[in-house]
Amino acid sequence: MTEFNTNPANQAEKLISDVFGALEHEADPTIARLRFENKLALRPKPRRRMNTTIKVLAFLTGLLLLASWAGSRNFSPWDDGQLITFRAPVDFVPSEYPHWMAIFANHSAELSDVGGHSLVVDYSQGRDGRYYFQLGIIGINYTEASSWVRKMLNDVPELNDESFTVTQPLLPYRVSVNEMIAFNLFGDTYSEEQKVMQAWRAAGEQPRVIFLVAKTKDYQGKVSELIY
Amino acid sequence: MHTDDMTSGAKQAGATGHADTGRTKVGRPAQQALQQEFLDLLMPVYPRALAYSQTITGSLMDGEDLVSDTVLSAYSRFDSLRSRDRFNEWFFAILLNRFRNLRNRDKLRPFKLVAELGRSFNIFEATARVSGDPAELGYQLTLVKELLSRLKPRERDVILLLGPAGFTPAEVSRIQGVSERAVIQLAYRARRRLKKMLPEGALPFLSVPADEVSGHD
Repeated sequence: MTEFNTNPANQAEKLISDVFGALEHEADPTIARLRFENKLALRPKPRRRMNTTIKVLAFLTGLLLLASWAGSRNFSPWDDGQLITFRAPVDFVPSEYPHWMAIFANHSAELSDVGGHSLVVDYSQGRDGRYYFQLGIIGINYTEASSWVRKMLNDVPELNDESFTVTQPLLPYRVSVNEMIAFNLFGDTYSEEQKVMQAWRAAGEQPRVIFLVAKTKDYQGKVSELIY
Repeated sequence: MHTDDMTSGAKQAGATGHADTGRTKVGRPAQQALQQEFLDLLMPVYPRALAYSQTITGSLMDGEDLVSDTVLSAYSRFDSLRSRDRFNEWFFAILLNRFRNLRNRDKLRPFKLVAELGRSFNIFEATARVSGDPAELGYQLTLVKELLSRLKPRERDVILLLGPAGFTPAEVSRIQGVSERAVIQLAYRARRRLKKMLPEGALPFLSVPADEVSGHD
């Protein structure tokens, strides 16, 4: 089956063959060579291209090396990011979240006095069913965070005698920006994600301004309930 | 060199379009030597490649453009060719891919028929209006393009490569990346279609000598 008579077998093939032959005859390799010499002289030398298999192997090897290096790497926490955790009152329910936002907001002015510029108010439910507040603060160190929260716990009757922990989280926020809105204590309300980012950036330049960041799902639509 | 090595490089070159224009500092003498080697290999196959390009594009200018494009593309990948003995196959594989890409992107100059072709034997009458002289090369080239465009791409490639381009079935199988058996089958199929398209006597200026006509059809 691999034998094939290449001679034209019909008029169409004959025509194709004749035309091909005529065109081939008219080609001038000498002139073509000069033209290509000029063209190729302007081209860079061809680069040796890596075989696809080698590319894949190199990528996997790089990935493994990166994983082994990154796996043992300790990332230092933010020096000025503190996460304060303490128990919410026994009767706390999520619908009271705006009320507690207002309480923390009322105490946030003292944070700005020591350089704080963002306060993220979050809560979560523990395994025992109790709720915990988690306050993420940017711009203050451990000592300042500790003394601030201690004073606040003393001032708020519902939170009296609650113990607290202060950690320096890798990421100071337990909630994503998507879930938050920012509330500028100086009067402007931000309800868009972009504005949160703008507020944080602005805070970086003006650290004495505190931005209170709340969870959208609990806070949005209930701003009017805020009592200072 | 393995067949795949040759064809994969060629396919890659065809698929990525123009040759790489990145700036690479190399020694001038080394570059010149490489160019000379490339051109030494290219020139013997150049007339065939040009004729092939002009035949499948149906245009002298498009054919030249296609070859130039292929030359630049091939040169940029010249290092990927491990066996210089298979330069011709490698170059034609790139040429075929370049043509496919250009055709897919409609980069070739649009060709418009002067008349819609109802039945296959009307090709002669339709294309006759392009030129008054049926013996003229331009006229015949138009007719050839019409004939070839009615074949499937692989059939067209095989009938050209095996016939006027002078490749062996083994070489064509490496260019196309298919088995020799498939190449032969495609060639017979193309031959049957062509015969139906242009019945004997349709072109009086063409005469197929009896000794050239094979027993296969």
